[in-house]
Amino acid sequence: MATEGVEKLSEDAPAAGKVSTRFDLEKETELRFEVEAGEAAEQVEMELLTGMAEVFGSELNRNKKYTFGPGSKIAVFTWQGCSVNLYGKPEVAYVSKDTPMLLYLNTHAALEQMRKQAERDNERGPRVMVVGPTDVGKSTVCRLLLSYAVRVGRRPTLVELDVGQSGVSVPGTVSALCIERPADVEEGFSVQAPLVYHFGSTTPGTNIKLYNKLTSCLAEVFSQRCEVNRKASVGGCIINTCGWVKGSGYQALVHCASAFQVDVVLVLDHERLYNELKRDLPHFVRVVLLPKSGGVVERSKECRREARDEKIREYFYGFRGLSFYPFSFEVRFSEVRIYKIGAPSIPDSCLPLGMSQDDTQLKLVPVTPGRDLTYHVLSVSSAEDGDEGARKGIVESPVCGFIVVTFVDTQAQVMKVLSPAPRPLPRHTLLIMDIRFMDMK
Amino acid sequence: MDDNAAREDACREYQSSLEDLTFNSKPHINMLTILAEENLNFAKDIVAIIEAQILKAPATEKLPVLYLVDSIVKNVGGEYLEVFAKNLISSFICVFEKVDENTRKSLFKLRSTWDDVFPLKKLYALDVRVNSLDPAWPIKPLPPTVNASIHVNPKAKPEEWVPPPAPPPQPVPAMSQSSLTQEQLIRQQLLAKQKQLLELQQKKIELELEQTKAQLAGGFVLPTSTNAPAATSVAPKPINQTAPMVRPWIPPSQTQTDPKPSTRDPRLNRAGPPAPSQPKEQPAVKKDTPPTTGSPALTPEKRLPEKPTRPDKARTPRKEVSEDKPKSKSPSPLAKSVQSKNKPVESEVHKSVDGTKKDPRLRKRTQEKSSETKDDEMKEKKRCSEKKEREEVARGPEPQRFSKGNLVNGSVTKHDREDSEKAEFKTGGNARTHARKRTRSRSLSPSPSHKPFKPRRVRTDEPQHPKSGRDDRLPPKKNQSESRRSKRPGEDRHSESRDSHSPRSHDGGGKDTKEASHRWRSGWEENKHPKQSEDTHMKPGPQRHKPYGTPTRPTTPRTPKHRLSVDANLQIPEVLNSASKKDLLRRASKRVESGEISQEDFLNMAHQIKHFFQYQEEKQQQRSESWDDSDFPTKKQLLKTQVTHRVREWNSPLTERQRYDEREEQKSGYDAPRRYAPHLDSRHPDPRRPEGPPPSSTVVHRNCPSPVGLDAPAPRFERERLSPLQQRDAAEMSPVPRFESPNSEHSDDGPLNLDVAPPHPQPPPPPKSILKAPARGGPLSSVRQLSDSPGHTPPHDGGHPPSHYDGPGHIGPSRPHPPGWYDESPRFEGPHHQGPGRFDGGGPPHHNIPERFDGLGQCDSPHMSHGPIRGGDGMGRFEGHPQGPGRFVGPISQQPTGRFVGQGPGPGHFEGPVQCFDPPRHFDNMGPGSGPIGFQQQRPMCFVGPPNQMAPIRFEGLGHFEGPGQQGPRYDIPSVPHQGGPPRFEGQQGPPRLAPQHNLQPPIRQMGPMAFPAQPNLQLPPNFNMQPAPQFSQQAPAPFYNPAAPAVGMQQPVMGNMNQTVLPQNPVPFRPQTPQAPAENHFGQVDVNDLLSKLILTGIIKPVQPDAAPNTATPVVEEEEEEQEEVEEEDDIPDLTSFSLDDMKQRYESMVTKLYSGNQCCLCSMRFTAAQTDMYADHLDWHFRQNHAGKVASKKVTHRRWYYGLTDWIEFEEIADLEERAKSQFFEKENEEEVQKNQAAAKEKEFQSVKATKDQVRESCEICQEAFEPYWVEEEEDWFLKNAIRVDDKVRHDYTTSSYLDVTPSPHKVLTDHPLSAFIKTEEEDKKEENSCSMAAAPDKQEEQSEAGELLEVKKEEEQEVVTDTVQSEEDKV
Repeated sequence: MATEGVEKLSEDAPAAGKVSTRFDLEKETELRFEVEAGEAAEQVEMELLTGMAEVFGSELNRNKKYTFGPGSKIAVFTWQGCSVNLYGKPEVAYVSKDTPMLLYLNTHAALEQMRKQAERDNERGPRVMVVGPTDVGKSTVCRLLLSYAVRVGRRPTLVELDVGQSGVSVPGTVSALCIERPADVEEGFSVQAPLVYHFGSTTPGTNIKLYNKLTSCLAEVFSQRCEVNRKASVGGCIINTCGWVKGSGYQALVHCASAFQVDVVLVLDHERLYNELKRDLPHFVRVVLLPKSGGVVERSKECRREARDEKIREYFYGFRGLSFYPFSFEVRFSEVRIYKIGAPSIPDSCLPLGMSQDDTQLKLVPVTPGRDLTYHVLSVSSAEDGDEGARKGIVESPVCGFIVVTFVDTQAQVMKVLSPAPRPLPRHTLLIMDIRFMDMK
Repeated sequence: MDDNAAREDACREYQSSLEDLTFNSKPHINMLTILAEENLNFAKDIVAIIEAQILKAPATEKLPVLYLVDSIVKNVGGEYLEVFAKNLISSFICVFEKVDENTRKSLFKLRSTWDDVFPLKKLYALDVRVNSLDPAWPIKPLPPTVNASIHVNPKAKPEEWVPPPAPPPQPVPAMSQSSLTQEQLIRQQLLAKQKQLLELQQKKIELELEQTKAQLAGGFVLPTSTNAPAATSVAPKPINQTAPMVRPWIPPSQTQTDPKPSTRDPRLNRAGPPAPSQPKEQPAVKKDTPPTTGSPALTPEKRLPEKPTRPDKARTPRKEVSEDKPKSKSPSPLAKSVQSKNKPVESEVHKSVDGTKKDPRLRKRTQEKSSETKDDEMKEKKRCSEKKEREEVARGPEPQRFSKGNLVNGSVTKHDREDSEKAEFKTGGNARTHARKRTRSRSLSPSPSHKPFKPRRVRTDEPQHPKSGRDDRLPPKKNQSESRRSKRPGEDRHSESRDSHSPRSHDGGGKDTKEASHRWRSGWEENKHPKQSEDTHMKPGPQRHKPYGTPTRPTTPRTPKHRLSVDANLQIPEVLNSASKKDLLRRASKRVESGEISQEDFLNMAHQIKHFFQYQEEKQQQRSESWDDSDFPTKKQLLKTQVTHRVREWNSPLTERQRYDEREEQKSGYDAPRRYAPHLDSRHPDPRRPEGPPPSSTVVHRNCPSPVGLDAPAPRFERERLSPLQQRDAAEMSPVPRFESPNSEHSDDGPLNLDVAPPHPQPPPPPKSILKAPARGGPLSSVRQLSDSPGHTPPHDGGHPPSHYDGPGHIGPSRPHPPGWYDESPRFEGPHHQGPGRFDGGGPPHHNIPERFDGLGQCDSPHMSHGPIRGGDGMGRFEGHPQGPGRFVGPISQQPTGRFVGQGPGPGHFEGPVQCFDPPRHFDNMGPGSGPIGFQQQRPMCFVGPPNQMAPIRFEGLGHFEGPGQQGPRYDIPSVPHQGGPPRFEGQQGPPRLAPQHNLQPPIRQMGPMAFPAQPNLQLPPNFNMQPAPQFSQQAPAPFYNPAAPAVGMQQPVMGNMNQTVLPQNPVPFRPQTPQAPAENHFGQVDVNDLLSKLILTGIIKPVQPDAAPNTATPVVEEEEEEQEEVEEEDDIPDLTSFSLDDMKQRYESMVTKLYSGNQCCLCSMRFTAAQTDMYADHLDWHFRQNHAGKVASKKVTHRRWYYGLTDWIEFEEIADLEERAKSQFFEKENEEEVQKNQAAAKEKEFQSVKATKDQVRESCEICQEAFEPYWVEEEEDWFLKNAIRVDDKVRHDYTTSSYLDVTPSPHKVLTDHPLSAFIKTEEEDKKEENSCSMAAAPDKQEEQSEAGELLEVKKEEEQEVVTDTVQSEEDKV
């Protein structure tokens, strides 16, 4: 907790009433600060005054103010030393000298070496799976590695398998995103063109079969892309996973590793998982145990829910609700077909003869529109509209986007939906999620 | 108490008035000055107030206060003078360290006017202090008698100083204070704008550079066979360079040229010696001569005859590889090896031979390998002489260098290497020479066919013929000069073996230039892109052409070949090898980041590096075999001839000088040439110094010969440079022109400066004073010389040679000859060394000057090394490095060579060279190693750093940027030559580098790329290329000469100003730079020529400097370390793929560096390396689109689009593309029908719609009074009225529409029908407008439509009715 070089410079306050705090960071230290969560919380602005620094792998521009909203937890790391000004009152702000950044950087260096190797040998680049329990900084490590890779000219792909806290799309989905530029310091990766699959729940446990199925789908599509795009192939992928590392969660990880044929598994702060994976994965898969950053903050359930809510809001309204204007229109029940993937699990004894539990998990169950649809998030499947025969591909089809049912009029047989884009819906096959979103803001 | 009260009042009053001095206001300053005069009694208090004001004032307001100080001191003086002097330094430093480069320029101008105001000691201390902050700040050893009028405006004074060269700077130095202020403001504004433009350009260039760098980085690691190759390469390069210079010059003054040609012939003869036996013998003779004057003379004669033939051979060899090869091989390798070996140990003959052939490298090598002993001997001799001190200093570094060189080169002894490498070197050297020649010729002559060495030269440029003649003439002159030199040098040589070595290298270079356009070409190719390009045109058309074609992005692969060829000669390879392109680029980028180097410099460096690498590759691939063979012979011959010449020169420095003078006289019209000559001279001395005693004699001779031979080439170069500068000046903005002119001038000055600088460094205190005095006198004399140059120079030469040799004499000679030259040279030095610092620190006026300086500095490095200087420098430097402590010698030798070359062309130049020789000798005395090193360092620093940095920094201002841009091109051109030189060096060194260290290659590549990029980037490049090429080839000479002459004139004035300033600066810079010099030497060794120098100067400079410093201090170790570091940068990362924690816990700087290298996008912090220029462009485009979208967002509704389909995602590559095809396939398919409908509807709209005005939105039909239906048209971004038609400015429904045709316009029907149709239409519209609907409109419509059609209709009806009612009522009212 080095706090040296911290001095209050209220006189420098750029914005009226904002307190300016200057931090002089030595090399290989990082400034961690958290912005108070809550509606009334004041944003904190951060400015790099001198030197060079980065936030989760994204370099900062000098003399440019970055604004972090409530609940932000930021770490400004510097390899060379820098001075940073914070404007506003962060909930906490301190300088840490003890960071695993060097390990992370060298991990990137190793991956880069593998990419170079791949480039030389015309092979595919490293496919990295980042695993670990919740709140160990998996997503941050992924972001770091991706930003580093893209900063050295690579075109890696982020595979987001964390259905609870997707960094790419709304929760309840798995997705893949081509990374073409470092993550925005404030906003994260640009999500212009993700490939998103509907899962429907915030935990893989609700339908592990579907989860694995979607993992395989993503792996397959990614492989196809690698065949088409050499840069993507060399860039490899970074797979972010759920924090569920036990039981079927662990099995899901192993399945993912095999589906993607990962070359490297980065285990964050979980020795048991590390040893298990080392045991269960092929020998040529390099399993690396990395420490977590001391700056990682444990998030409460409430915090996670809010994060999910925010993510959905961001989908419709854009970052901080400023950039996008969603549309609201009515959709007739007759226009759309709504399904739920996975039949409710029922005792085997109750299953029809010859059917197994697994089958039910991937089954499309038609949903009758009703008032209980209200506030549910629906995925618009990209599957071609068609008869029952077309249903088969629905589960394995990516989604076009999401709508939220805001009002159901059973009498008029219409429902009012919040849509990112104006009508009409691109497809008329909707998949219902367990997740609900109330557009309260 | 009254006093106290009065004092308080006065102070208070003054304080308040002073606080208003927030900008440069002449009236205000005058008022304050008067006020201060009135309160003379309270001088101390007033001064305290002013000093406090300086301390507390914002950075932007410090300068005016300093101007006030200046005004008070000059106008009031008296007690103020004393009081101010007390804290002058601290106040000045306080300002200097806080202000930007432009202001620093002003400060420099200001300080330059203080020579008569403040005690020289004070000023010297000030210079030293400032120099510690900014190495580019020149230190005036002796306060030159500055015109600095005591009165008022520093600006005005600066103008006086800088006026001709620095138009941009002038703004500050406004003629009158009042006018100055206004002008300054305007100029500053212009500069600011120009800076912006330049910045943008720079960014682009940087991107390109980065790309090239990246490519280079990805490219080769140069093998290290650096020593031998370097040496050979060096020699050839200088020669080539010089030769072109001389030729151009010669054409103008044919009469003089005659002698010159003779001198050239000597060179040619020297080249002729290339025959193995001859070269050796000759070299030996030369070596002998250096110590013993008699022998040199003999050698020269031999050489002379040989040379003529040799040049032909060399030329022909270029065409005919076989011939060239034998020639080059025998002379260059043998000479080099012999020289290097013999020099240090015993055989003077060997030394002479070596020195003569590929003096710098050989000498260096010899020095390095067996050098220590030789060096010791040399040192001892030097010590015995007055120069002992200097020598000691130099020796210190030299030994280190040697050791380093040895280490770098390998454990193999220099002799062994030389022997083994000789063949290679020879071949390489030949190839290099050929390449150089070719490049030159090519550059000179657009037509490659002319390329044949002699024919090419002649053919290429009109001047060529005269040149050729001149060359022939020159050789004799050279011989004479050599003999003279040899006589003179003999003493010096004996005393200073090292010096002789360096001179030899230079001479070799000079010879090479004449004899071997080949060598030049090779040098060019290797060192300088232009050269390379020329070379490519000549021999490996494709390769050379490639560089030309892609100056910015030379193909790295080419360079390797060159390097290989060059390797033998070049010692630089070691450094270069050690430093990979990436490393170099990284270093350069770091420096840039740190502000040490300007962006322009950086870019130039990158270009040069790229070029180098490309050249190397090319050389390796194509040339290596054929080129080497052909080139080597020629080179060898050249070397031999050069050696002989050198010997002669040494024997009779006076004669040489006389020759120079004669040449100058002949060229008298061309001031530039004369200047070059001095420069060359100075350079020669430098080489000598570095090389040490043995080389000194040889070196001198070589230098002389080279100068002679070079004279023609050098002049050309100068002219070319000048011409470019002039052209640029004319074409470009005043600032730019100034910059350019400065550059040209700088180039000229550069050599001079270098010369001057070297002396200073070696005998720091005494030399400085001497130098200063000379320098000061120099400018004045230079002016005179310009007019009378011939006469003046000769006398000076004659008188100076003897005395000068030992110490003062040098200065004297240099002063007299160069006056112009000296001025230039000092300036150059200033620019080079101090240039950066000064530039940075300099005020606006100063800026201009500094810029000029920078330009000059850059030019010098580029011009000098690349152009005449380049040729010479490259050769000299490389040679010097290889031979001696090589590195030391190398740097010095390089510079000197360059100068020599430049001088060589003109008779006057010869004189200059003679003088230069003297300086070198002095250096030797002082401390060969240190002297050279210092020079080299300074030069590199100045050149690389300053020029680039300067340009960037200064350029930051709009004017600056333009200037840089222009300069850049100019630089590029110079650089190109330089690059060619470097490539040659690389080629020579290439092998060594490859063998020793891969790192070296990267640097080389960087160099190459740098130069090329600069050219490409700069608009001027074409001009430069043209000019340089012609100059090199000799074709251009005449044209160039003409331009050059004007340029010279321009330069001279500038030079004069510069000189004053520069001279003071030089001393300090030299010292600081001395460490750098070694580095430069290293580079020079590796690259040998301009490339190295440029690299060193710019990107490499820093690396080089460190190398140099290490070399000097702990030459071998440091070099190794550096090399290692370089290697580490790229390869420091072990195989981490095993993810072993031990490895993972180490910090690998290269990873961090890689993440933070490149240009940062100001919008998103993303960085783009040079290799990613295109990406950066796309990226910026993307930003633009984003921003545009953001702007449009206010008009349009933005929303998140539906995700892309599976196939789209699989195939998509760039987000930009995705955005472009925002409408994915399935959307298009789905929308096909809609689209059709929309199109149909659109047609209707086209004919039936009327653009709605604000008040028309709810307007009703004039006929039926029915309200129009407004709708939004995406394409038009405006509202239209549906079914409306405008008739006679009145809007009514279009009754041709079906609804109106078929339906009677009864209000009822309208109401019923219209709502329906409207609804349908609106639905269609919605579909059409899905993407474009405005936020408000779209939802409304949609909601209305979707929610309740009937209700909607009703509402609409109601609305319409209401509207119609209102309208009617309104109409009624109306």
